[in-house]
Amino acid sequence: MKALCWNGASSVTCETVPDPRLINPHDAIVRVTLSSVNGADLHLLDGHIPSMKAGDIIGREFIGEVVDRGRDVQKIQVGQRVVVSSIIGCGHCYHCQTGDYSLCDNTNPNEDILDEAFGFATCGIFGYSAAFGGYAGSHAQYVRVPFADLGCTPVPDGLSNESALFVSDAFPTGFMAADMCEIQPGHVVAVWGAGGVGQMAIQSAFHLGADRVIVIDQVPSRLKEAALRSRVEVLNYDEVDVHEALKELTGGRGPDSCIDAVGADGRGATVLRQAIHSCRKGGTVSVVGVYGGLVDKFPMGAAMNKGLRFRMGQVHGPRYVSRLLKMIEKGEADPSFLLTHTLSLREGAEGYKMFKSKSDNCMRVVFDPWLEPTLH
Amino acid sequence: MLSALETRTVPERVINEVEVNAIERRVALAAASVCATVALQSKSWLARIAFGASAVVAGLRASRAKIAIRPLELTTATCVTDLQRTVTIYGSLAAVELYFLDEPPSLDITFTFRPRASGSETEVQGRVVRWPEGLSRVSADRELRRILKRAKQMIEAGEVARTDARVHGVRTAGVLSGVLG
Repeated sequence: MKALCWNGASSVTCETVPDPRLINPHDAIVRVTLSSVNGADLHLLDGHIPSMKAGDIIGREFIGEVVDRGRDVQKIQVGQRVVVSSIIGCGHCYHCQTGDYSLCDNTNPNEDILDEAFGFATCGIFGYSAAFGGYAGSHAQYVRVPFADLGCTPVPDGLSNESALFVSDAFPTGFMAADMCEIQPGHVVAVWGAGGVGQMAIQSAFHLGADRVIVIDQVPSRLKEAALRSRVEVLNYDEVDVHEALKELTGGRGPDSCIDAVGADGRGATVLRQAIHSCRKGGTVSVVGVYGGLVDKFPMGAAMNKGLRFRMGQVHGPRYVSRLLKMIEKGEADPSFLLTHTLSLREGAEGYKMFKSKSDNCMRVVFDPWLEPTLH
Repeated sequence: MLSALETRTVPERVINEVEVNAIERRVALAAASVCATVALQSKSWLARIAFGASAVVAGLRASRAKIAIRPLELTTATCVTDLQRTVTIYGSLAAVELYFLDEPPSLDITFTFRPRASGSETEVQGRVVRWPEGLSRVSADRELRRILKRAKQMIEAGEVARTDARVHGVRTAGVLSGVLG
């Protein structure tokens, strides 16, 4: 099959690799229909995630059709169209039983690496380095999905692939960010990052009852898109002092909740520091942007003395998938606008370049593994 | 409230470790190689015969060393009672115990089971009571952790997580056509 492989920092190539096969009884093989780039992939491409190996297939956000299943898979049938959660949970351990699927005990075969780095290993993630299990990613024609009964969710007939695709990662991540804020009537939520996850966090915050949502970014097209989709207020951090602007917009109090939908970027943890600084006293900082290792100059004094509450984590996908599919079915949300470009796997490098530079108003590049190249 | 500790010990199994005397084999092979080289390069027939014969003798020694077997008897085992690991398994005491009794591991390990207060979880402590001399503590610890991890995954999830490294692409870097900007 064809797959998009990581070959080192800033290098991806489309290669022919062996097809995946069923290994365990709870596995399914999914024929990928669409696979989206993801902000977390940029950490791989920037070389910030250790334990990547040249040749690793990347990609974690996808939708497809089940073409084979292991003997112990019961809920999923061959031929079903399914959206697959980006994180891999077993569904049975203590953490999965409490709904914290990304903290699963049983799906990371290389747990020694994270045991050493984090104290405890977390779950396996598709296409996200040996430390997170070494699972092959979704930028491929086929993917092996472990614990398919939990990871695969059938897509209702009425939904398009483009709408359901982002229920794999971006939508539940944004929703979880808002959910962790425990929004109350009258609350003001500030969201850093107007990319895929940030856009979904905005919609989710309104859905969960936020009175006002303020989004902070520097890309005019993304701010414009956010404003088009909801009554969100926008701040361009290139143009204003974010802290002062947020203070002014909230009557001097500060936002009740601050969502970091950016994570570690080239400048370290700028957003996290800004969120802690701007959050109201006793407020909540909700972090869903991905951090890989240590953060320099973390303002612990501000966080402690202001009595902030921190919530964070990789997305607990299966906790939200069914609920979000229903929201889309009812017309309460439609993430399909995130898809701005559809490319073939052979255009992988161009796709990531476009995604990283946010050129051509790019929000999300999605790969169709069966498509022939269209660029050039 | 935690109930009283209950201990089960798995049956002993004699460990016969096949050990190749690698150092002896390497020395013999090196000697054979040197003798053969000297024999081939020598101008004297006498030297050629002498070094050739030495090469053959060293080669035979190497081949014998290759199949040397030194069984490790339990009588040579050392006690490592301080080596222990604990794992919490999401499952009832009965279910967890049953797994360990049904599938005794290959080591001489004592397992202690303790139900947690919730009733839905069980703590299993594995203790290596004896470990053959000549094998490191690191390997004993690794084996103990492997057994506990495998048991946890089998009991909780019904399988042991694995990846298929074969699926990934060629493990070489530097394909310039795919370089981003």
